[in-house]
Amino acid sequence: MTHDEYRDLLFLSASGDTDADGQAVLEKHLETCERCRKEYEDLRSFHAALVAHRVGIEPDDRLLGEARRELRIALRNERARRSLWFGWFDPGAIAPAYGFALGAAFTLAVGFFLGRSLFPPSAGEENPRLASPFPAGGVRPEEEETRITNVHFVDHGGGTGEIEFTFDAVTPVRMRGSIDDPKIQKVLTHAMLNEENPGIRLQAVNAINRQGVETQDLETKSALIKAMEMDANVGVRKEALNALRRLPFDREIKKALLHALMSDGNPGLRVAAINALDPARTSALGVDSEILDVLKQKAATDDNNYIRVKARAVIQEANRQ
Amino acid sequence: MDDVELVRKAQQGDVFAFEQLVFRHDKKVLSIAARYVTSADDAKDIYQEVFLRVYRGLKKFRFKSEFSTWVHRITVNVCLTHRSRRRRTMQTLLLDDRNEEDSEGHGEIRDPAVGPDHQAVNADISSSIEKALGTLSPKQKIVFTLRHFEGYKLNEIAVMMNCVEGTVKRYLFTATRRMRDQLKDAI
Repeated sequence: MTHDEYRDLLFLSASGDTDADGQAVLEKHLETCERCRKEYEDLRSFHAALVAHRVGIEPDDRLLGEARRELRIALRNERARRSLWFGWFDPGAIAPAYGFALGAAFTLAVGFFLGRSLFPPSAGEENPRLASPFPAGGVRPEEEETRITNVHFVDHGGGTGEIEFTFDAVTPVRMRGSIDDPKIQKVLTHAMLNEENPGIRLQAVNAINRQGVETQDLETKSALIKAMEMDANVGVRKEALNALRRLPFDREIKKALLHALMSDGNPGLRVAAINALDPARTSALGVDSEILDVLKQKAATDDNNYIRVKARAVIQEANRQ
Repeated sequence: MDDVELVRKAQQGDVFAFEQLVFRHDKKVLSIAARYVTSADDAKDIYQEVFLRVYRGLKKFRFKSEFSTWVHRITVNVCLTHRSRRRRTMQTLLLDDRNEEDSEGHGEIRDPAVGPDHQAVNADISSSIEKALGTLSPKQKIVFTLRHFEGYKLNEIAVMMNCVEGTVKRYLFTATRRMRDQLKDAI
């Protein structure tokens, strides 16, 4: 081996990137080469110093929480730029049966729109009512409100008499039904997580919050947890937390509450999270070491004096039991 | 549910599946970003850009690599271009960012057991390392960061950078030499 090749090995070894064979070769060389031995020691102490003085930002839970919240907003804006039906969002993702209903609604709405555009009713002729294929209390398109956008010509005809184009059609859909209906819940959870307007997200959480505990499904719970952890609006996060309090206290909810307590920037929400942990005392989970660890941390380091006092009080209460 | 299944669902428009994927992989992405840049805002910018690119490109993802590998490749690319954007910003802005990040609690972690003198020395060394990192080319810097601060192996970095291991070694050697030169008086 040349001296330069040994130097390469030195570099690799100092950062832990040599295999056993390479290391053996190097060690043999170091026994006889003073210059390389000195270089090797310098490199090792250089790497040790780098590890001891890590640079950059500490990617802690709070930073992660903020990054997720900002990403959620960016994704929402991204989705808003796309067509609801032809873009990223697929009605089939909601539920196959509902997707079919929406598909039918969309087809009828587009047909109706095109029919009216191309063959307007003559004066005095009564507008024909579009027969709704949906049962009462179901989903139906808001007639005459289909918006056609992004018309793109694929084939201009070129004398054949036929043209081809694509377009996006957005059809408002009205739904009516019981809050217990899983289809309605699906739309509400989607709105809760993806609507751009915080007022609508809040209304969606409130609507879910009003429903009975028995009807909460796993997906709704998961959506509420996401909203509590990541919504940019503190009102939405707080309502999501309130909705979670109505559910049976379990490991997932505990974890989410601890996350909120650790990472949420709003002291009111952190206080609500401490309060929401109270059922742990009577649940099968109990006030375990995970909860106590977070509370101790909050009791020692939270910026807010009330939260520090409250956390201490809960710890004392837990110790008494 | 594994990544493949989640990706397939997300490709069909399932937003919950996409979020699951984000939650599985975003800590690594943020960690790489946070070590690569010097402000919390920059780290969040990189994080966001990575997942927006993932979101936009997901339909074209053909499972020729692991999903995580793809995400890491995008992360590396975003870091490389992010530096280019930062170059155009003024140094004063960078200083403002640092002040902000300290006030938000995302600054360097200080060990309360270490006395103020040691903390000052440590801060000084960290600052010198950051300054020295700033003299590297984007590729040298990302290789150096991934290897020394994030602990990735050379072959893993090669996959992330879509190049051969020899190229990664070359970047690492050059970066290490430069860093040692720059830091010879500091550490």
